[in-house]
Amino acid sequence: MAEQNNSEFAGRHPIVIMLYVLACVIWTMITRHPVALLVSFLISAAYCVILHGMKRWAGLLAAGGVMLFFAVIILPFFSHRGVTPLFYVNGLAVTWETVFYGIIMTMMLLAVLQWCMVAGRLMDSEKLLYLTGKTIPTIGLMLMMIFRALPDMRDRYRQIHEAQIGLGKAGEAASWPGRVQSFLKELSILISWSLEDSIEVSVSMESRGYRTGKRTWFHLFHIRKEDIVWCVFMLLTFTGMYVSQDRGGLQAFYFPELVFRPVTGWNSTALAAGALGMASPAVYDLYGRRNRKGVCTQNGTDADLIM
Amino acid sequence: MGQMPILSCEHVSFCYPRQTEDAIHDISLKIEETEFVVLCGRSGCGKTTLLRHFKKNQIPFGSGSGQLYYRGRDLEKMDDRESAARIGYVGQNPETQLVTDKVWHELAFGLENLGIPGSQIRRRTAEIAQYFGMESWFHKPVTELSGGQKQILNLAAVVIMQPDVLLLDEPTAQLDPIGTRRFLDTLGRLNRDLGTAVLLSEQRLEEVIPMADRVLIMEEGRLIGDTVPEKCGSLIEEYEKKHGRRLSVAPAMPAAVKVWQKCHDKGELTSPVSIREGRAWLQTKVRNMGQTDAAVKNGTANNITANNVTGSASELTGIVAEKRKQRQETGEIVLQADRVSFEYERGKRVLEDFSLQVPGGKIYAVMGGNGSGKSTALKVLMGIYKPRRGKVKTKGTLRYLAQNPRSLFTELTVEEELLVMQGGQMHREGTGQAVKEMLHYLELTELEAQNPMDLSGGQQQRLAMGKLLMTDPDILLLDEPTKGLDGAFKAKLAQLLRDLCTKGKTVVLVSHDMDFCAQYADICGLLFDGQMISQDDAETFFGDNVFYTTPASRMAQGIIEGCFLPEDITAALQKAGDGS
Repeated sequence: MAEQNNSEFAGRHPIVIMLYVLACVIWTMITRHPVALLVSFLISAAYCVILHGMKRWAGLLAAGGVMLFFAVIILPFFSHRGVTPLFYVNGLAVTWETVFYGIIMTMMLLAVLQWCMVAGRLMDSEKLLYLTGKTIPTIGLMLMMIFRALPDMRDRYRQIHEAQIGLGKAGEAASWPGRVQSFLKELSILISWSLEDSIEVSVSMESRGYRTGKRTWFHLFHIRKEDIVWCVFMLLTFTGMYVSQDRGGLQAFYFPELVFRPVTGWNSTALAAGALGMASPAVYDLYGRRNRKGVCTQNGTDADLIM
Repeated sequence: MGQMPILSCEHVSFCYPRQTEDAIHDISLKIEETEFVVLCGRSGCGKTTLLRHFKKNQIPFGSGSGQLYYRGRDLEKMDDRESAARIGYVGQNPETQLVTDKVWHELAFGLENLGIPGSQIRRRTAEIAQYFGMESWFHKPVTELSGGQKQILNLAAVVIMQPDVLLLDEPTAQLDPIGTRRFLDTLGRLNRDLGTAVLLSEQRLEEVIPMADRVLIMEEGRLIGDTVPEKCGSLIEEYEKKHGRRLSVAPAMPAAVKVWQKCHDKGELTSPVSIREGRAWLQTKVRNMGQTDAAVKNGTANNITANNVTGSASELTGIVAEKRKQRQETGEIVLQADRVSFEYERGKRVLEDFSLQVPGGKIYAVMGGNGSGKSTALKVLMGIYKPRRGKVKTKGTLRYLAQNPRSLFTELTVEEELLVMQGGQMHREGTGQAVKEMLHYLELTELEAQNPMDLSGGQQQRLAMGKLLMTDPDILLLDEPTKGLDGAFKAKLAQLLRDLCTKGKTVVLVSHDMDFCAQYADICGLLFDGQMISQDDAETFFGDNVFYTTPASRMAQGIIEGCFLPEDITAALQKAGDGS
């Protein structure tokens, strides 16, 4: 049912996916414990590579490098909290605590970004619409129209731009101020064109009975047994982790000095369960991909036979 | 109650605000159960206004009078939900009627509005997708569909609400011939399979009139004819005789009707309508002619007679040949593409070894199916896209007219649109003079203060052309210049192009419109699979093709050779008639 996608997990019910993504992102954002963050960072990084490939992940890491530069090199020169001085600049201490805090915060930010990238691949407009449409139908409808309008506008802009080149008004032939001017013109054409079309769209909506009474919200998803299993599994694995976090089992202090609660006993079990919950969709995807590969090669031979 | 027409109106008149003349005047008509009715007339004759009166939420704003009924009840007092479900409306522009982002959701939209539960929507969307053959694009975003697919989706999204009657306002005006045929086939099947009544307004009548049960003819806001397709010819003839002027819808009639009008026997009241009927009629006609002719000569054998007519046709071909010779006198090549290749994405070639030579002072038509790369070729010639391989050589300045004239208009009035092309020197007197002349030339002088967006399609097209001409180019590249234009506007456009050619300009146009190209182009080329397959003068081009040719040519093939316009057939027949 889902669009062509390299993820098996993306084919699950939107509620399962939403549950997973929210659990991961929120937890990453509230926990401050370095071990917990490291776990989240590593799993999200792995899943990111699985879904997007090494290249895009490396791009994200490069952005992380910039963040690291600010958090670890620049920030400690301005923030002097902490009790373990590394060296002094103008009589002010650059402390180990600030540097370490910078590293951890960068890792957290990166982990959140990675989870967002994962979410971007797992969710698509259809699932988002399902989720919003179920809860707030008007917003859902609005989102849907935006999803439709954006590619349309891009296409229209291309048409307008080409037409202006055709007139000799834009493109390489034009001077630089001329190009700016023509860009503004193109934009104004785009706006008036889009506005005019939107009137026709609203007539078409009305013609098909929009605003004549209570609407229903149709979707193509249905809950399967597997989805329920996933939901239960996630509740089980994530609940312990959240409870442990809430009870202070994953407490961490960075200032004035670094104090981390050791991850042992029941806390370590809860964290391990959480890690399992986070990692299992990735494993599921890898497993599904292996299965699909078998199917693909089979098809390949069929095609060869026909040739 | 059973005999109640689905839709009817009595003495309906309507006038738009701030207009003195009625847009439609004193119209009474009935649409019966399961009927397929075609409403024809040139653009601006009030077809759309009339159609909109039958859909409650679309009745235009202005002053109207008369009565409208749906199954004998007052249409204006109809329940909104009932109106939405029972009366389906499909408009001209495929893009702007789509509301949602996915095909399946578009189908479901109307049902959602009626508050129908999900399980039922699921069943009905599946059913409709099956019926319209859209399974393979059911999950696609609507933006990825072709124009023809979009329009079929619009139809499906209305039909899913199970209407008794469909109103369609020139639904194929923006489609290419294949999309048009597919759309009309689907519509015809709906009418046959489900008995849904259809009221269809159209300008291009070749395909729709043979499908119709009844034809309504409008002229300047009045309904002047209501008849079966076979009698359209005689009705128009009668009207023209009575009023002493040409009916504006006449040029749009099917080829068979046009030929019949000129050449039918006295007392023959019904005309052939489809190509098939036209061929049968022509065959009998030729045979009969032969008999009288042969009776004079030696009184035997039917076949000679056909030869005889073919003989006169070849005389005609002689005249054509002379014209052709004139056309073939080629000037120097002003635009040349040499083995050009182009692709948007790696591995997806659009043009491959595309070569063409355009001689100066000619109208060159590039024809070809959908997605054959015609528009791309034009953009490569213009330099909007850079070829991957090969070269484009030009002599003189090039200007390109995009398919949609809307993409050109930046100003508030028609006059400013032209002024701005002069480099923004708005108030110099000399430039003002040039603009005045251009407006006069384009016959837009009276509209100079109007907003370009309020002009009709044909007027917009002319204004866009004017913008191009203000820059005084040597070569004009036009992308589908006849899209959505009616016969009269097409003739005007052709006049304009011919005019430009005599002034030494060159026109390259890309078009689906075979009649237009056959009639007005000097050279035609067929683009297929990224290459120019054939490139010939229009006569040879259309004469040699069997499938990719004009209706008249299909009608006369094998009976009279060398005809590709209704006028050619009538000329040949009349000549043969004179000879015998």
